[in-house]
Amino acid sequence: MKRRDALAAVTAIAAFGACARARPVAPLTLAVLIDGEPTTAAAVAGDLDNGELPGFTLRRVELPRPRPTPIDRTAAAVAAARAAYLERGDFEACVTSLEPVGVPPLLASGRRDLAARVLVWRAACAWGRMARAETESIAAQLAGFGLELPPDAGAVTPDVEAVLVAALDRAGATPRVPLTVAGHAGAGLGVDGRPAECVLPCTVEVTPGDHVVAVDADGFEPLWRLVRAPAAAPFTPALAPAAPALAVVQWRARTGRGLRPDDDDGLALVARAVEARRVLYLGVGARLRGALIVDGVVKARGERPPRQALALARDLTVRGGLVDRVPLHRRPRFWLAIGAAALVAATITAAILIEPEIHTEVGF
Amino acid sequence: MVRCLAVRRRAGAALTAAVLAAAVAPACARDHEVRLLLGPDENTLTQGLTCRDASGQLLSARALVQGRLRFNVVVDLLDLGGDVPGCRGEELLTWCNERGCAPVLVADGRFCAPIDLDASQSMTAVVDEIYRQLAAAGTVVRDGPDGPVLVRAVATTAPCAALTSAAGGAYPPFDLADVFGCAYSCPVVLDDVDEVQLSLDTLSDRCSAEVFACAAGPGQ
Repeated sequence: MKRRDALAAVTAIAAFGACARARPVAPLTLAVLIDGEPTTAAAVAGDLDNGELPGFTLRRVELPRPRPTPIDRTAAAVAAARAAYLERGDFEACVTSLEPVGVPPLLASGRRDLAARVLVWRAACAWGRMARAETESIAAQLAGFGLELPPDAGAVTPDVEAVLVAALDRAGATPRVPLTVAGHAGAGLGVDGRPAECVLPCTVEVTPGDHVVAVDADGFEPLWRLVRAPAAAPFTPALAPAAPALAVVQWRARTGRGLRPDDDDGLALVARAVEARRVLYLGVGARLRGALIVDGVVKARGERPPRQALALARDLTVRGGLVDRVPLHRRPRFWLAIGAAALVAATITAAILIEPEIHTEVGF
Repeated sequence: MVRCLAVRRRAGAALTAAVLAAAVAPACARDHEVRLLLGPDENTLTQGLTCRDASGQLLSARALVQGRLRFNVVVDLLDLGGDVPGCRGEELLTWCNERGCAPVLVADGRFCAPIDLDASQSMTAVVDEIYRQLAAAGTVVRDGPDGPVLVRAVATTAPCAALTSAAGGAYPPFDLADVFGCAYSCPVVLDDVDEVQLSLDTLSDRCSAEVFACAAGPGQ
């Protein structure tokens, strides 16, 4: 190889290397959620604050606080009705006490015992007001929902108890009809407060009449409707996305059931909870576990030592497709390495092939 | 960061070394000297310079002028065309008939050294004097060819001026009437040897025919 050939090769490689550079990328906002022990999480946050992730603006986010649970006054209303009925014989007051209470919401939340108590006292109060038809209607509701008689039934008059038992007997003798529920696949279906009857789409056997159909799925607001069976078409509820606070509750509930906080469904809840399109989740522990969630879908996962948050973030944004992976031929280091390798190879080849010129002088 | 810098420093040093090596390697050259011997050693003359004719008279008598031997030694390098034939006369004859064995035109000019010595000296003194005068004449060639060659020395009474000027890409041929001695080497690559012995392939001291064949060139 001539020296000028080697020089030309090195020049060409240097020219390629000089032209090689990453394309500029428009800055994107990336929500960063750090989950873990506070001291370590603060250290990781510091690493992110002190570094730079080219092409991104990092925005630290926190999980919203769960909504406070409203005070449930149902039990108090039942107690007031019971007192009005038993102690004062004030049937009007008994009815009035129970008026604000809705039985279907109680059933939708799985509180069958309380719903049964409400219906028993409503029936007793109606009987006391001489409203027999109303009593029988209420008894039919109790039987239709498949509720059992609560201990409170022993405190009502034998007439009322007889009406209730008769209704239960009639319901028990009525043939069941199918109730088909479709909709969000995998959502849990509860009927009349009995939890997890099946997952959608599915069909359950119920007594003819109205039933409380409740559908529940992570990432969605729970929904219940009063549905009459039999129905001509499957009941297909449309679920609304969960509010951020609910998403947090659902995420924590999953963790409480022993599921990993950073599995795909869990991270989808996290993304919903922080209300961001692009979320970088960093789970702090012995290792730093990271995931990139885009539009609720986990795009990339990775692990690094705890203090390599920026490197992990860079890796995830590349593997998650948020930034173009810089092609090899656009990386200056690649050309530097190629140039060095070519030079070394040329040198070795030259050392092997090029023989030094010998000036031989001949004489006597 | 420190580790990264160290790695870069090492890589930079390796690169620099590689560049220097690549730049210096082709520039390297080696000087080499080859000594010619007119016989098996420096004390013995080759039979090619002491041949007799068919009548038994020394051919060197042609150079005898008033008790002195006066002649010229012409040294040629015969190009063998990049390959190496055997050393026997018959092998060289076949080779040169097929491929030609022309003398290489030397940039410095054809080597022609005048020799003038007292014929009455002992043979040892004559040999020493011949080598002294040959050495005084300078080098045969400053930069010999890289390929295989035959080295030939011809002793002639013809003047150097008539022999050293090339015409038509070739040196003038020897007039055999002036030639009284000739010797040649085996095929040799001059870059690979330190010493070249010249001799004449003959089995008798009556070797004028071999001398003339040698001077005319194999195949002539």
